[in-house]
Amino acid sequence: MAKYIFSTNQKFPPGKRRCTFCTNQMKDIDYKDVKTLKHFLNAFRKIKGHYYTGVCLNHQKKLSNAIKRARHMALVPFTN
Amino acid sequence: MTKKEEVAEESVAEMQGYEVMLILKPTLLEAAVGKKLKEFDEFIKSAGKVTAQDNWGKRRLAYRIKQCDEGVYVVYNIEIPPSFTKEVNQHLQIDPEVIRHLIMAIPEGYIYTKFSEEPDQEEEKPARKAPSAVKPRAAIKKKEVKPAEAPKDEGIAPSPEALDAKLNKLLEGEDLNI
Repeated sequence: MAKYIFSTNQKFPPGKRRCTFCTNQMKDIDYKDVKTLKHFLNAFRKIKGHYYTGVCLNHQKKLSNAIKRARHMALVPFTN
Repeated sequence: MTKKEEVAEESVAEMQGYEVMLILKPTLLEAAVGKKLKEFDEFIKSAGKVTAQDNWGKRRLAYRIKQCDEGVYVVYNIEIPPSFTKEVNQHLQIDPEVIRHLIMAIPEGYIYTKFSEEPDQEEEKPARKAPSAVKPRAAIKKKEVKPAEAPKDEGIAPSPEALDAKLNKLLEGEDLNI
Protein backbone atom coordinates (compact mmCIF):
# COMPACT_ATOMS: atom_id res chain seq x y z
CA MET A 1 0.00 0.00 0.00
CA ALA A 2 1.37 3.29 -0.98
CA LYS A 3 0.05 6.68 -0.16
CA TYR A 4 -1.70 8.22 -3.10
CA ILE A 5 -2.35 11.87 -3.83
CA PHE A 6 -5.82 12.33 -5.17
CA SER A 7 -7.45 15.37 -6.69
CA THR A 8 -10.94 15.51 -8.08
CA ASN A 9 -10.94 17.51 -11.27
CA GLN A 10 -14.44 18.87 -10.94
CA LYS A 11 -13.66 22.14 -12.67
CA PHE A 12 -13.70 20.45 -16.07
CA PRO A 13 -17.02 19.32 -17.56
CA PRO A 14 -17.64 15.56 -17.86
CA GLY A 15 -15.98 14.17 -20.95
CA LYS A 16 -13.05 16.58 -20.69
CA ARG A 17 -11.66 15.49 -17.32
CA ARG A 18 -8.08 14.28 -17.03
CA CYS A 19 -7.01 10.91 -15.69
CA THR A 20 -5.88 11.38 -12.07
CA PHE A 21 -3.70 8.26 -12.17
CA CYS A 22 -1.84 9.51 -15.25
CA THR A 23 -1.25 12.96 -13.75
CA ASN A 24 0.10 11.44 -10.51
CA GLN A 25 2.18 8.91 -12.50
CA MET A 26 0.76 5.82 -10.84
CA LYS A 27 1.31 2.66 -12.86
CA ASP A 28 -0.64 0.21 -10.73
CA ILE A 29 -3.66 0.57 -8.48
CA ASP A 30 -3.68 -1.29 -5.18
CA TYR A 31 -6.83 -3.05 -4.02
CA LYS A 32 -5.88 -2.50 -0.37
CA ASP A 33 -6.12 1.28 -0.20
CA VAL A 34 -9.84 1.81 0.05
CA LYS A 35 -9.45 5.62 0.28
CA THR A 36 -8.75 6.05 -3.42
CA LEU A 37 -11.18 3.38 -4.55
CA LYS A 38 -14.05 5.14 -2.75
CA HIS A 39 -13.79 8.14 -5.07
CA PHE A 40 -14.75 5.93 -8.01
CA LEU A 41 -17.80 4.32 -6.40
CA ASN A 42 -21.41 5.39 -6.57
CA ALA A 43 -23.76 6.00 -3.63
CA PHE A 44 -25.00 2.49 -4.43
CA ARG A 45 -21.33 1.35 -4.50
CA LYS A 46 -21.34 0.69 -8.20
CA ILE A 47 -18.32 1.59 -10.32
CA LYS A 48 -18.66 5.03 -11.91
CA GLY A 49 -18.24 5.36 -15.64
CA HIS A 50 -14.98 6.80 -16.91
CA TYR A 51 -16.94 9.53 -18.69
CA TYR A 52 -17.70 11.10 -15.29
CA THR A 53 -14.40 10.42 -13.51
CA GLY A 54 -12.04 11.08 -16.42
CA VAL A 55 -9.99 7.92 -15.92
CA CYS A 56 -8.28 6.70 -19.08
CA LEU A 57 -9.20 3.27 -20.44
CA ASN A 58 -5.86 1.75 -19.48
CA HIS A 59 -6.33 2.73 -15.83
CA GLN A 60 -10.08 2.03 -15.80
CA LYS A 61 -9.33 -1.63 -16.48
CA LYS A 62 -6.90 -1.78 -13.55
CA LEU A 63 -9.29 0.18 -11.32
CA SER A 64 -12.20 -2.16 -11.94
CA ASN A 65 -9.92 -5.12 -11.23
CA ALA A 66 -8.80 -3.56 -7.96
CA ILE A 67 -12.36 -2.78 -6.87
CA LYS A 68 -13.48 -6.31 -7.61
CA ARG A 69 -10.63 -7.70 -5.53
CA ALA A 70 -11.50 -5.36 -2.66
CA ARG A 71 -15.12 -6.52 -2.84
CA HIS A 72 -14.06 -10.15 -2.68
CA MET A 73 -12.03 -9.48 0.47
CA ALA A 74 -14.92 -7.54 2.09
CA LEU A 75 -13.00 -4.23 2.19
CA VAL A 76 -15.70 -2.60 0.04
CA PRO A 77 -19.37 -3.65 -0.08
CA PHE A 78 -21.00 -5.00 -3.22
CA THR A 79 -24.14 -2.91 -2.72
CA ASN A 80 -25.44 -0.38 -0.25
CA MET B 1 10.80 -34.73 -23.78
CA THR B 2 13.74 -32.37 -23.71
CA LYS B 3 11.44 -29.38 -23.91
CA LYS B 4 9.34 -30.58 -21.01
CA GLU B 5 12.41 -31.15 -18.89
CA GLU B 6 13.65 -27.67 -19.66
CA VAL B 7 10.32 -26.17 -18.69
CA ALA B 8 10.29 -28.11 -15.43
CA GLU B 9 13.80 -26.93 -14.59
CA GLU B 10 12.92 -23.33 -15.35
CA SER B 11 9.79 -23.42 -13.22
CA VAL B 12 11.81 -24.72 -10.29
CA ALA B 13 14.46 -22.06 -10.75
CA GLU B 14 12.15 -19.13 -11.50
CA MET B 15 10.44 -17.58 -8.53
CA GLN B 16 7.65 -15.09 -8.77
CA GLY B 17 6.33 -12.71 -6.17
CA TYR B 18 2.80 -13.27 -4.92
CA GLU B 19 0.62 -11.55 -2.41
CA VAL B 20 -1.65 -13.67 -0.25
CA MET B 21 -4.39 -12.17 1.89
CA LEU B 22 -6.26 -14.23 4.47
CA ILE B 23 -9.29 -13.55 6.61
CA LEU B 24 -9.31 -15.71 9.75
CA LYS B 25 -12.24 -16.34 12.06
CA PRO B 26 -12.71 -13.66 14.76
CA THR B 27 -13.36 -16.28 17.45
CA LEU B 28 -9.71 -17.43 17.35
CA LEU B 29 -7.49 -16.38 20.24
CA GLU B 30 -4.18 -14.62 19.62
CA ALA B 31 -2.14 -17.73 20.37
CA ALA B 32 -4.24 -19.77 17.96
CA VAL B 33 -3.73 -17.13 15.26
CA GLY B 34 0.03 -17.22 15.85
CA LYS B 35 0.04 -21.00 15.56
CA LYS B 36 -1.95 -20.88 12.33
CA LEU B 37 0.42 -18.36 10.77
CA LYS B 38 3.47 -20.37 11.82
CA GLU B 39 2.02 -23.42 10.11
CA PHE B 40 1.38 -21.41 6.96
CA ASP B 41 4.94 -20.01 7.11
CA GLU B 42 6.42 -23.50 7.27
CA PHE B 43 4.17 -24.68 4.45
CA ILE B 44 5.41 -21.91 2.16
CA LYS B 45 9.05 -22.27 3.18
CA SER B 46 8.95 -25.84 1.86
CA ALA B 47 8.85 -24.43 -1.69
CA GLY B 48 9.82 -20.76 -1.48
CA LYS B 49 10.30 -17.95 1.01
CA VAL B 50 8.35 -15.27 2.85
CA THR B 51 9.44 -11.67 2.13
CA ALA B 52 6.86 -9.82 4.26
CA GLN B 53 4.18 -10.60 6.78
CA ASP B 54 1.67 -8.16 8.21
CA ASN B 55 -1.12 -8.72 10.69
CA TRP B 56 -3.81 -6.04 10.44
CA GLY B 57 -5.71 -7.30 13.46
CA LYS B 58 -9.46 -7.53 13.84
CA ARG B 59 -11.47 -5.50 11.34
CA ARG B 60 -15.13 -5.13 10.48
CA LEU B 61 -16.19 -6.83 7.28
CA ALA B 62 -18.18 -4.92 4.67
CA TYR B 63 -20.68 -7.77 4.58
CA ARG B 64 -21.31 -10.98 6.45
CA ILE B 65 -19.25 -14.05 5.53
CA LYS B 66 -20.11 -17.45 7.05
CA GLN B 67 -22.02 -15.86 9.96
CA CYS B 68 -19.06 -13.62 10.85
CA ASP B 69 -19.24 -9.82 11.07
CA GLU B 70 -15.54 -9.42 11.88
CA GLY B 71 -12.34 -10.99 10.68
CA VAL B 72 -8.59 -11.07 11.33
CA TYR B 73 -6.76 -9.79 8.24
CA VAL B 74 -3.28 -11.07 7.45
CA VAL B 75 -1.20 -10.12 4.40
CA TYR B 76 1.76 -12.13 3.10
CA ASN B 77 4.28 -11.32 0.41
CA ILE B 78 5.91 -14.53 -0.77
CA GLU B 79 8.14 -15.82 -3.51
CA ILE B 80 7.24 -19.23 -4.89
CA PRO B 81 7.38 -21.01 -8.25
CA PRO B 82 4.15 -20.44 -10.22
CA SER B 83 3.26 -24.14 -10.19
CA PHE B 84 3.03 -24.09 -6.37
CA THR B 85 0.10 -21.62 -6.29
CA LYS B 86 -2.40 -24.44 -6.86
CA GLU B 87 -1.25 -26.19 -3.71
CA VAL B 88 -1.41 -22.98 -1.70
CA ASN B 89 -4.95 -22.43 -2.94
CA GLN B 90 -5.97 -25.97 -1.95
CA HIS B 91 -4.29 -25.66 1.43
CA LEU B 92 -6.30 -22.52 2.20
CA GLN B 93 -9.58 -23.83 0.79
CA ILE B 94 -9.52 -26.91 3.01
CA ASP B 95 -8.80 -24.90 6.17
CA PRO B 96 -12.05 -24.26 8.11
CA GLU B 97 -10.58 -21.33 10.09
CA VAL B 98 -9.78 -19.32 6.96
CA ILE B 99 -12.96 -17.56 5.90
CA ARG B 100 -11.63 -16.09 2.70
CA HIS B 101 -8.33 -15.81 0.83
CA LEU B 102 -6.82 -14.15 -2.22
CA ILE B 103 -3.68 -14.99 -4.19
CA MET B 104 -2.39 -12.32 -6.53
CA ALA B 105 0.74 -11.87 -8.65
CA ILE B 106 2.70 -8.76 -7.62
CA PRO B 107 3.30 -6.13 -10.32
CA GLU B 108 6.84 -4.89 -11.04
CA GLY B 109 8.36 -2.32 -8.74
CA TYR B 110 5.92 -2.96 -5.92
CA ILE B 111 7.10 -2.22 -2.37
CA TYR B 112 4.97 -3.32 0.55
CA THR B 113 4.50 -0.81 3.37
CA LYS B 114 3.11 -2.09 6.62
CA PHE B 115 -0.43 -1.24 7.62
CA SER B 116 0.62 0.32 10.93
CA GLU B 117 3.26 2.54 9.27
CA GLU B 118 0.88 4.23 6.87
CA PRO B 119 0.38 7.95 7.41
CA ASP B 120 -3.00 9.18 8.69
CA GLN B 121 -5.42 6.52 7.56
CA GLU B 122 -8.59 8.29 8.63
CA GLU B 123 -7.61 11.94 8.95
CA GLU B 124 -6.70 12.38 5.31
CA LYS B 125 -8.74 15.05 3.59
CA PRO B 126 -6.90 16.22 0.47
CA ALA B 127 -7.40 19.42 -1.57
CA ARG B 128 -9.89 21.14 0.73
CA LYS B 129 -7.47 21.45 3.67
CA ALA B 130 -4.97 23.47 1.65
CA PRO B 131 -6.30 27.00 2.45
CA SER B 132 -6.58 26.22 6.17
CA ALA B 133 -3.02 24.89 6.16
CA VAL B 134 -1.65 28.27 4.97
CA LYS B 135 -2.94 30.24 7.96
CA PRO B 136 -1.07 28.44 10.73
CA ARG B 137 2.16 28.74 8.76
CA ALA B 138 1.83 32.54 8.72
CA ALA B 139 1.03 32.52 12.44
CA ILE B 140 4.11 30.41 13.15
CA LYS B 141 6.32 32.78 11.19
CA LYS B 142 5.12 35.77 13.18
CA LYS B 143 5.66 33.92 16.42
CA GLU B 144 9.13 32.92 15.36
CA VAL B 145 10.16 36.50 14.63
CA LYS B 146 9.25 37.88 18.06
CA PRO B 147 11.32 35.51 20.22
CA ALA B 148 14.21 35.82 17.77
CA GLU B 149 14.46 39.57 18.46
CA ALA B 150 14.33 39.27 22.25
CA PRO B 151 17.40 37.05 22.76
CA LYS B 152 19.43 39.29 20.42
CA ASP B 153 18.94 42.27 22.78
CA GLU B 154 19.92 40.17 25.73
CA GLY B 155 22.90 38.84 23.87
CA ILE B 156 24.22 42.31 22.95
CA ALA B 157 23.79 43.89 26.42
CA PRO B 158 26.14 41.67 28.48
CA SER B 159 28.56 41.15 25.63
CA PRO B 160 31.00 44.14 26.10
CA GLU B 161 31.72 43.31 29.73
CA ALA B 162 32.09 39.63 29.05
CA LEU B 163 34.30 40.29 26.04
CA ASP B 164 36.56 42.56 28.09
CA ALA B 165 36.94 39.92 30.76
CA LYS B 166 37.73 37.30 28.16
CA LEU B 167 40.30 39.51 26.48
CA ASN B 168 42.01 40.22 29.77
CA LYS B 169 42.13 36.53 30.57
CA LEU B 170 43.62 35.73 27.20
CA LEU B 171 46.24 38.48 27.45
CA GLU B 172 47.22 37.52 30.96
CA GLY B 173 47.17 33.81 30.53
CA GLU B 174 49.04 33.28 27.30
CA ASP B 175 52.03 34.83 25.55
CA LEU B 176 51.11 35.87 22.08
CA ASN B 177 53.65 35.36 19.33
CA ILE B 178 52.91 37.68 16.47
